[in-house]
Amino acid sequence: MEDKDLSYENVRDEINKLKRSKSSQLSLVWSRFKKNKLALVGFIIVSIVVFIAIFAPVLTPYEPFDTDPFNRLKPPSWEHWVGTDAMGRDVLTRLFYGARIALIIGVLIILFEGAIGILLGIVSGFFGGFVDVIIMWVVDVLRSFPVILLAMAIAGIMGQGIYNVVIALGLVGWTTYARMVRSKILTIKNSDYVEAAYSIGESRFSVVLRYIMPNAIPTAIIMICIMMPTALIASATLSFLGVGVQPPTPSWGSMISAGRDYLIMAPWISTSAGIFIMITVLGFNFIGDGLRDALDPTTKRN
Amino acid sequence: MPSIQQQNVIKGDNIMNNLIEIKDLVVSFETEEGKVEALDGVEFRIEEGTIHGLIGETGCGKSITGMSIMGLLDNNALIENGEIFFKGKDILKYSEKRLQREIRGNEIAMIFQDPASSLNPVFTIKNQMEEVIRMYQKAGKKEIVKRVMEELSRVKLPDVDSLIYKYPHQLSGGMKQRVMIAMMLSCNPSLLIADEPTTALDVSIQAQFLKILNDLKQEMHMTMLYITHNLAVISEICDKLSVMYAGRIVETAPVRTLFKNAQHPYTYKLIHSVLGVESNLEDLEEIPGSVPRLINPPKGCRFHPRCEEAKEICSKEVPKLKKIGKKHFVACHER
Amino acid sequence: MKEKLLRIENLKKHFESPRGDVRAVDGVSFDIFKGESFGLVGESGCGKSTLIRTILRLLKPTAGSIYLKDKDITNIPKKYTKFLRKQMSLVFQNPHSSLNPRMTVYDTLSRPFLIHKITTNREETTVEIVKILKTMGLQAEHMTRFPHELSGGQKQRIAIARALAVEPEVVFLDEPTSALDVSVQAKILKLLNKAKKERDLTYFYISHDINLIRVVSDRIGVMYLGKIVEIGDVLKVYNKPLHPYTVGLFKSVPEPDPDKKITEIPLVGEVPSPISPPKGCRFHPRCPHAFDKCREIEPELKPVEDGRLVACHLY
Repeated sequence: MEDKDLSYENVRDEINKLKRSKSSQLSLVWSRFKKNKLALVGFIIVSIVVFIAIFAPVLTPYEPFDTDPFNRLKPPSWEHWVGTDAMGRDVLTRLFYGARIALIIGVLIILFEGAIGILLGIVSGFFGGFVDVIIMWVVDVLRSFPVILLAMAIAGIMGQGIYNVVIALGLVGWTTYARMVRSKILTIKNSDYVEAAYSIGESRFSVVLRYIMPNAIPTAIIMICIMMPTALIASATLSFLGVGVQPPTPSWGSMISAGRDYLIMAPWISTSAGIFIMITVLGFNFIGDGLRDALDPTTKRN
Repeated sequence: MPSIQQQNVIKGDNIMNNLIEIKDLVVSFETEEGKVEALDGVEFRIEEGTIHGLIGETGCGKSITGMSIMGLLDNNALIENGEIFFKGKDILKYSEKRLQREIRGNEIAMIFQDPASSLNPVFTIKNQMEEVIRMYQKAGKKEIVKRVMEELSRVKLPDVDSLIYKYPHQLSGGMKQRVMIAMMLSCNPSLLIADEPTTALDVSIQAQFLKILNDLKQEMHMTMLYITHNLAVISEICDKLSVMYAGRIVETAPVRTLFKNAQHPYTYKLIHSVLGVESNLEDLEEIPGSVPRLINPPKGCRFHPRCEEAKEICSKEVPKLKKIGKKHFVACHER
Repeated sequence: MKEKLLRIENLKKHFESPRGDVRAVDGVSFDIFKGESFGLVGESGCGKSTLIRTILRLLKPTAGSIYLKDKDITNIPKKYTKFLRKQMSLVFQNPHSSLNPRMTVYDTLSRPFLIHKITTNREETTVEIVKILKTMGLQAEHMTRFPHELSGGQKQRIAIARALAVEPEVVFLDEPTSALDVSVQAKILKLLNKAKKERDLTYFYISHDINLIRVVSDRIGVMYLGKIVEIGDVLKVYNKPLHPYTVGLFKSVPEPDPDKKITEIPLVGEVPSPISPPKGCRFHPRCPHAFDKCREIEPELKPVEDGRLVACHLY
């Protein structure tokens, strides 16, 4: 074997390629995602909703709280594309600002429940034993309550408002993450490559960091995308029931609720908010499905 | 299309009673990475009363061939060309309904590598056997139980009296596989397809299983397509053998001819890469490279990138299966 | 006298199960000499995988002792096992599952060098990786690949490279070719032989494939239901197997030759459960030569002829 061949200069190119090949992993995921038309539709929907949420003040000439007693319950027109509500406020403006509230609550819930759930899932799955039993017992207990009732009770105790909605839903929501992440960790923990890692002398810490986490993260990402619509619907439900976001803050759930009384006279209030929720949820669902296929090539039907 | 000369050859051989004849079968799969050309012109025929082996490495399309005969291909599969004549009728043209009614189970039956997945875990062996028998013949309760016992003792299962009341999970892999055989034989199929039936079994259990198959072959004049990657198993029980590589048949011959006088370079290497009692490591053949992916298979002969004898023509033209001896066919430009 | 690398004395490994202890390895004693290639054959469930994992101390032994170069490693606490990992390494059966799917070949192969501080910087590590890739017949360009971009044979060569990278004394090979196609089997085995000569290694093969064990080993052991029933020089055992199980096992293997067929069933019945193995000799319910003593007294593994050890009352 020629030693010249083995000098660092000769392998430097390969090392540089190595960096590129790592970034190409991401582009591979993106290219798989792109091929999935529904996922792309979902991506476009969610992008539009995010755009609306950010630029709501620019997109509409009205303010969400501007009442106009002379223009109450007006049907859609050139001035008010989706009409006005019982206080004469522009419905479209409120829908746009509602997107803000919906996304903020959604993201906060996901962050809150995701952080708790994923962490406890990892602890439960990796350490097993007594810790696992306790965590899974708490999960089972929490899951045996009807989520909305529990959230209502929590909101009842702590008072209403955006943050309490987040806490109320998050306190139950994390259980789903914990379960999924735990089962994924258990599969990885018993895999050959983890045993192989121990067999060459890897420490437990290194195994978690280098072998378990990288293989569990896609599951966590997919979970987050799949749970987003659930969080949106749950927060809308709470607002609809009057224990969530309080009027006059514009939220889709409370708009449906407010429009209920005028369903015959001014159906655009409730229906438009309902359609917004539906489309946004659909968008996130499409993204979730697309990501699952793109991140985990093994689930591919072959 | 085969040449006139070849057609004559085919007709000439038809004097032997061919139970099934596969002609120019082309099957592809639509996947997200592209079209997989899984089978590309597969052809062979099985004479009545013989065991025909179909051998090849992972991904060569041997299982897909079996599934095509049964009409059990996945939804993303497309049969692009070909005919499968079973008792003279092209069953590839049959509707799903007709296949289910006339072919599957009563005419052609199949056993798989994992017998556990073919047995229903919530019913006893007796229940499952009875149901199968009742499907194909009308008989009284007692008579059916008698048949169940008969069929099970035919595959030499011990303690049949207590065995029939057991559930699949209470049986070992070898016993389950024997129950599967008994179940399939109880429908009196004309053709039995076995897809790697012993791969999951231990050697001593495999030996028992092969012995039983050999006995059944003598007793019942059974016709069988035996799909496997294991050459040693093939040599135990088969009469004739087709070797598959990357979706094509490269050689078909009686077992003895093939083992003693393999003509295709792939077949030769394959036979000489298997460890036998007398082989030693240094003489063992290896085939450079690896099996090609069938999304973009090599042009011409699909084996040419790994072939030491490859000439220019091999990368350009697909070699046709041609007759070079008694019942001996090979697809190679150099032969 | 050759140097004893490993000494196994009455090693046991039992697993708890709801229906009683599974006696996977139940009292096994043998030695492994430096530089030899030892092959252990047995059917699935005989305990051969558990045995090597116990010797490697990936599992905690239930009883008995393991000596590595005369050092008792039976009860080393987990935090001190790292030095064992540098002495003994393991190649898994299935290369499709034994490589981390999210690590490149470079990352996978750099780990052993970094863990055991064999190399100190990235340059050295890279050079070592390229070296070991070449030993395994692969190229520097393979460093950038992920496992799913490699063929089965290439993956197994990476897995072997990882096991060799720690510069071990003894390499355990758990059915290294059974998940691969036959056409690449010869290549892997030849590469392993070459590496053994180059690096002065000791190999411990386990497999159910008797013909494979025969071509790669100097000495073989035959395992049945948690016990070793016969140990000896490979040619001697093959030419004249003594234990009735060995005889039956060898006869069960189909030959790739249409003129040699299995004419009678060599081994009747099935392997009993390791939860409640038969009393006396564990093989007696399937043994054609069993007599009263076999049903009562468990035979010891004792020397018979030409340096061979057999556990059978016939000898």
